[in-house]
Amino acid sequence: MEFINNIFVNIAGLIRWVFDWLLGLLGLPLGLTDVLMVAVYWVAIVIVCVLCALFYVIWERKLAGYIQRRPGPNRLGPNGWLQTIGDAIKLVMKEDIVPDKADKPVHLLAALLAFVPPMLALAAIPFGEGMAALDLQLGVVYVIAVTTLASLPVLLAGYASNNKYSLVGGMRVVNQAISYEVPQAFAILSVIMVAGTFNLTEIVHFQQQHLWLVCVQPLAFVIYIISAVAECNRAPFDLPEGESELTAGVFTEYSGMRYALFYLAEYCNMFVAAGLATTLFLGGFSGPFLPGWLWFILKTFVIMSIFIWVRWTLPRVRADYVLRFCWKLLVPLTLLNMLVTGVVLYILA
Amino acid sequence: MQILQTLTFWALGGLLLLFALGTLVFRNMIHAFLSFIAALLCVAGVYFSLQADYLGGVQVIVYAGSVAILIVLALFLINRRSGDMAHTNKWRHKWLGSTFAAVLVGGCLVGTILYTHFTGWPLMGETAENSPLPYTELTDGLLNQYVIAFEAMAMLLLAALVAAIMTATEPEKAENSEQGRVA
Repeated sequence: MEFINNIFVNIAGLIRWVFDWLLGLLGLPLGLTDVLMVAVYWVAIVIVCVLCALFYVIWERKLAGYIQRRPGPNRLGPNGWLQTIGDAIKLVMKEDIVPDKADKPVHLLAALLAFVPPMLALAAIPFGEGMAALDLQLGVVYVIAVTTLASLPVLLAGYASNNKYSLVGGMRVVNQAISYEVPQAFAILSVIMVAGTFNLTEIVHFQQQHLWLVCVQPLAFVIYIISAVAECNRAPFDLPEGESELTAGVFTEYSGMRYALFYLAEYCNMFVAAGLATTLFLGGFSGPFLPGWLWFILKTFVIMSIFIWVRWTLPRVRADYVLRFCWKLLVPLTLLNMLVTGVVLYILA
Repeated sequence: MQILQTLTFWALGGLLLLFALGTLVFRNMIHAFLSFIAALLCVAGVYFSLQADYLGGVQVIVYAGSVAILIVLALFLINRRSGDMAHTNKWRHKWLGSTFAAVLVGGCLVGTILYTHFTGWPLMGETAENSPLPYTELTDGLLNQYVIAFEAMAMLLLAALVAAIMTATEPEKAENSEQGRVA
């Protein structure tokens, strides 16, 4: 049991031991192990990114099917579960079309950069006990910081496509991302106030000792989920894509592999948001009987399913309603929540 | 750990210089701006590698996140055809003034660095065990010792914000343009 719980930590330890041994054999300084371990962590994060994108794309289509009482993709592989792999191969083999008047280097760069912010954020999220690649003292600040960068590649894509629809889509991304960052950060802050630490692993330990923070901060949890949906540009806040008014918004001029990169990055961003929600509100990797990392996967799965459920249930909201909802309702509510939290903590202390 | 530290520092420092140079020499405004963001991120990387996590986080949130977005919004207001620096940079023929400004700013920077009294701040590894968390002193300073100055500054920023909205909104349309005020 203890072994399965720590299996990934043990694997990392084994790899480190092998590197130490190899470096000793070659007569190189042992400090190089740390450099090599960074590469190993990086590869692990890339694998997690790709796996979760592949899985959640097919799960979204399946769940959407169940919600609408249709089977969903059911031809490729057992009950259609290999459909994403087929789609990915198709997208890779498609012609890569770049508009003639586009800003070509930026057009390519935007697609490549889309993956960077979620990967940076995943590095700090603890998947299990001791399983954060980057266990920072200020982990929460770091994750908020790198997720703010997620809107930049999309904005660049909007600019570089040299298309009016794309540009409007890009502007909407910025509008929405900047607005919803505020309630999201405030919601997270009220959690920090209760837990008394910025370290993500310590927040999980706090919840292990006391209770899940969703019980103490239900309002912050709901507001965090709403803001996360808006930050990931998903329905009902998918205005940057808005196919009924903007063709495909930011992604109008993207095809083939470049489109696939954006599409997969969206799922990675969702996974980061779900992982953070799990860590901050749902006790992270803590749970009885099963190993910690499995609990983490199960909890993120539930949050991801909620994201998908919301998307296939609610219609798209008008652009100004999105912003009004944020500034006139969510921001005052989070401020009030912080005030109440502070007063209660002061009385209890 | 020392090797990793040194490697990261030199890699980030080199990239920072390259991107800073790119900001100056790119002829397309958006490319120059991209290079500028990359330079800001490199600075954040240097902070992180020196274990100044808080400073690094703030650098990314404030500069690479918000300031960069504001700049790009301003750039979008410029016609893309005239995005070439040759049309937008009105100072490019005024060699004398430009040189004077460059020398002045550069001199101030070098002078500040030379005359700063660097007290032996603990570097990486020395702080980890014996000092409190990096942000406790900061919060203590902001919310106890300098609380009045801090609040006054917040009020000033709020006033500036309100003034900006008032200047941007045309008075006769203020009543019915709900959308303008919200956005």
